[in-house]
Amino acid sequence: MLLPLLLLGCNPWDIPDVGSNSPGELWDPAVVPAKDGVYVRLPAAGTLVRVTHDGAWSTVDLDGARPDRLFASPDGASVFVDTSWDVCEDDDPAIVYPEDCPDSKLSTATEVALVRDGERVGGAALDGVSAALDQVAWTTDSGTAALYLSPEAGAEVVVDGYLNLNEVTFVETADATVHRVSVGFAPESVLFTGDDSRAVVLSRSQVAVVNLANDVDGCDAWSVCVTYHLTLDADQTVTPHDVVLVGDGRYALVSVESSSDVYVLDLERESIDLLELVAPPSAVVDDPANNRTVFTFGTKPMVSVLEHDFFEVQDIATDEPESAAALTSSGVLLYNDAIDAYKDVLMFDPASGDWDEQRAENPIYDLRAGTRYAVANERPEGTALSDVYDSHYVFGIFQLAPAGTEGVRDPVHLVLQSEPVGLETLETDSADYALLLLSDVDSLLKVRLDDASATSIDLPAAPLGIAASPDASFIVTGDSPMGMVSFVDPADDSLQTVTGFATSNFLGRPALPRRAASE
Amino acid sequence: MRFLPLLALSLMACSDYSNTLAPKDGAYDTGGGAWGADTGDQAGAGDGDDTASENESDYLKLAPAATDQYVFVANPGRDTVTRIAVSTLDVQTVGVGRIPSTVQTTSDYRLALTLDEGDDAVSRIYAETLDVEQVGIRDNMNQLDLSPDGQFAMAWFDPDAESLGTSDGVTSFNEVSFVRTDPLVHYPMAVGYGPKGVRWSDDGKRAIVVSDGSLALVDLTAETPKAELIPLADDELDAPVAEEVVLTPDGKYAFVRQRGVEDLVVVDLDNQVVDHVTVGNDPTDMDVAPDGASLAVVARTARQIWSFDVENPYATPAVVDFPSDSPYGSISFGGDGSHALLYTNAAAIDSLAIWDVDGGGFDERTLVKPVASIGLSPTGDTAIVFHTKTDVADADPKDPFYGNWAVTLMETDGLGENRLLLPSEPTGYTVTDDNEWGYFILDGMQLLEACSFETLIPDQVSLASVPVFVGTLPGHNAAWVSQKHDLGRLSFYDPSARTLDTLTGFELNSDIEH
Repeated sequence: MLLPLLLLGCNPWDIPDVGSNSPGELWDPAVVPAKDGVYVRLPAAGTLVRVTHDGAWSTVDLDGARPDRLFASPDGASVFVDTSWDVCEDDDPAIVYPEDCPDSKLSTATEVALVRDGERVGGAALDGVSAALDQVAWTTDSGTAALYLSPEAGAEVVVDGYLNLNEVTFVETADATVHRVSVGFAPESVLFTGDDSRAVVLSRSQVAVVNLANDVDGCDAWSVCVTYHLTLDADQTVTPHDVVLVGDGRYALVSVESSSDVYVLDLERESIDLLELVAPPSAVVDDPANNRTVFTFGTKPMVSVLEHDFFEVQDIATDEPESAAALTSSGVLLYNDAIDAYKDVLMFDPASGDWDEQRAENPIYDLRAGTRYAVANERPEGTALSDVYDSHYVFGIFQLAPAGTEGVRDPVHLVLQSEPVGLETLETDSADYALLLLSDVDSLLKVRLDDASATSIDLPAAPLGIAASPDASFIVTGDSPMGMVSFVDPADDSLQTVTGFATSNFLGRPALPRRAASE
Repeated sequence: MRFLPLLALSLMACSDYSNTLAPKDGAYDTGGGAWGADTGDQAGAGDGDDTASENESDYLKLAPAATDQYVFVANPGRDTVTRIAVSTLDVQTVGVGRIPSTVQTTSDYRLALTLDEGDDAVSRIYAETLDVEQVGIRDNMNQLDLSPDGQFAMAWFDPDAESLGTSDGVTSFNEVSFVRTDPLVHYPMAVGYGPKGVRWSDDGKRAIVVSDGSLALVDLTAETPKAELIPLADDELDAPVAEEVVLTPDGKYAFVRQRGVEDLVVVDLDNQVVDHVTVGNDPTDMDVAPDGASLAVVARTARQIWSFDVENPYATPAVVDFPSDSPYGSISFGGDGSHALLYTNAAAIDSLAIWDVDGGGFDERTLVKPVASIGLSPTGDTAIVFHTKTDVADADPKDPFYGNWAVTLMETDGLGENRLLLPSEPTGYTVTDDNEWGYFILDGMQLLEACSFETLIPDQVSLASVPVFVGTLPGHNAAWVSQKHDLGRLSFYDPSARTLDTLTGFELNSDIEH
């Protein structure tokens, strides 16, 4: 779970909200690739369609509800669909459409469905799961999801009836079984242990460990086995910021907002220790191979390395502050994506404390680290009078090698025509590639990373976004009012485009669903 | 302020030890401290005033609530005791009564006891299992003293000490609570007015509860122990202050040194007879030799040491004159009793004398500064001399030690010494059982000083925060250091490996819900 955290430079559970419901749009280009196809919301029609590689599409039966937001499981086997529908409290059989219902009696109901193979699992929505829950964490096998409300959620959250902010809702995806577990007020994030037997839930001023297996150590399944309080003062609020599991999952390292303290929760012995770092950490990455955890500090040119035998911290000075870190097979990659002035990219060896330094040309705002290369989108930082790099978006390619390796290629920077709107990476036995979409450019740029050579794959329309599909292909959405999804096979650069799916139910007039009078 | 070690551990209060009265170094002073001492000015000894009282307490030495495996910490704010395993830093917390103000461990490492002031009770904790059982005691007791063999404890009320959990009950100035630890039984007793503490005989058969006007003799072998009062003065309410009481190892005699009294009170406990023996002018300290055969009394104004035969205290004592006219007032025997340190912390005197008990001579040594306190290694061959900030009257202002705190590591059986200039005042020290290491901490400094008694060289160990208390673990040469931290911080230093393991926030463990 940590790797995507660092790759994205954000909370791993901060799932992109693909529910931008713009009135008048026929389809939402923020599509969700799954194993069984690509799921696309059709806001105008109030329906969800599944588009498949063979060019077909079909409507998912949501019992009249509108899809508002989609979350796919990491393995692509399941998709959560937050839905809503209009409810008229007037039973008059003459009322068929929402506009027929008096405003005072018209309301909106919400629910969550788990969709697989184009159908709701269990044939119905999930029992008692609130659609307001906007965050999801998954076990490594995607067999269980934890749903909870984002701590950043504001007044716009639609509460249907009531919402228990002390709960995390666990869903077993195989059969859509729901378990609601009270874990403490306002869950901040959920992390699963490597064996998927327990969930570590961070909430306000406390951390709860939820047992997911049957009766382990006398603790019932789907119950809180142990709760660690992060403060003894009820008037003091400690807000967890980040958590990683280290030491084969025995320890949870919990950083808290605006504090240099890191709580070490021993999940085995059920005890707490506190470490004090030089500053509040901005990123934390665990390196299991070296039995160490690396902290960066964003505004302080320092890296702290925590070894897991004695939990001793070693502080190592660097040239510039690093706000982000990513674990790679060559070491921990450190960079700063928060302050424009800092452009160092370090390959850091947690075991020795040594590092090699590379440098970006422009400020990094999106970095993806792979096995052999890291690629980064870098934004312009200058004015029209600046040099060519400063005035353009830049695509940086950084070769990854352990610190101290001789002959590492200097970074390559490609000046881009326009702003990148999508980036995916592809590693093959023969070569590594980056797939890059540029705004207003009707082609997909395929960059071979070892020699920085690029080829273009023509697209039928200006691209809107790109996403990796579970079947190793890529999905590119195109700017077409009737809907456009292209399946890109990176093996041969072939393209299969499906259009027109946004016309599904295009002319239909949505009636009030689930009314006895209308059945 | 008295030391409330474990309370302060959790509250992070750094004690002003100027009035602290902790147990003296001698084997027979293991009970609740040298009570009633006029402590004088610890921060700077007097200016040669011979009438000032010696600071009887070994005030820097702190008794750890430790066994050979665990350190126990009371959490009075959460009514729990935390047990920290030294080898693994494993933390376990167990609930006890309300407001456990102190925790103590038995010498067999089997039990820990807390005084639960909020409940007027004592909790007994099995060190290994953490099973807890509580027994009620008399109201408003605020002191607890555990017998060396761990069979009994006594609780009493000290009006000069801080109370954490005063109940609405009656407060008695004559009552004490004896508690048998296994099985857990309470025996309330009325003793003399204003009990000041308890002395336990080495054989575990007797205890005496000391008041100014009387002793209360308690037969601990009785099925239901009771107190038998032995008056020390005709008018108990107007009795001289008992500054120091020594119980002989066999429990047959008690010696009482009273303030302003030239004689020594000798109590024959078998026959309950009180008598007096003459000592030199101005007795200021007494100490039983390690072999238990003799009692040495320092007569400061007379500049003499009077040695009494413990078996026959009425026999003519041996009297030895001081080696000089220095007004020494304190004495501490070394481990085997072959020599003793003679010093004063009541006057700004920059010397001490090492008394060759067997040979009869003295080795008088000049010190860099006056003495505030002295700690001896277990065998007595090394002394840690803590100096006052105050200098002698004729000190040279250009001397690097002038106006500063200092410590001298000194061989008592040789000439080696190491004089250390300190950045601040020492606030605690301890020595290890193996006679190899002494540790001390300094006010406001995030440091632990680990002093090798073999080399007399200190190692400076950086701590994560300011230390509050320092102690050692029985049978180990490691030290523990509690430090200021909102949620509790304890470090363990292993001098062999030179490693420091720190546990922070252990008080959070008291609130883990299972």
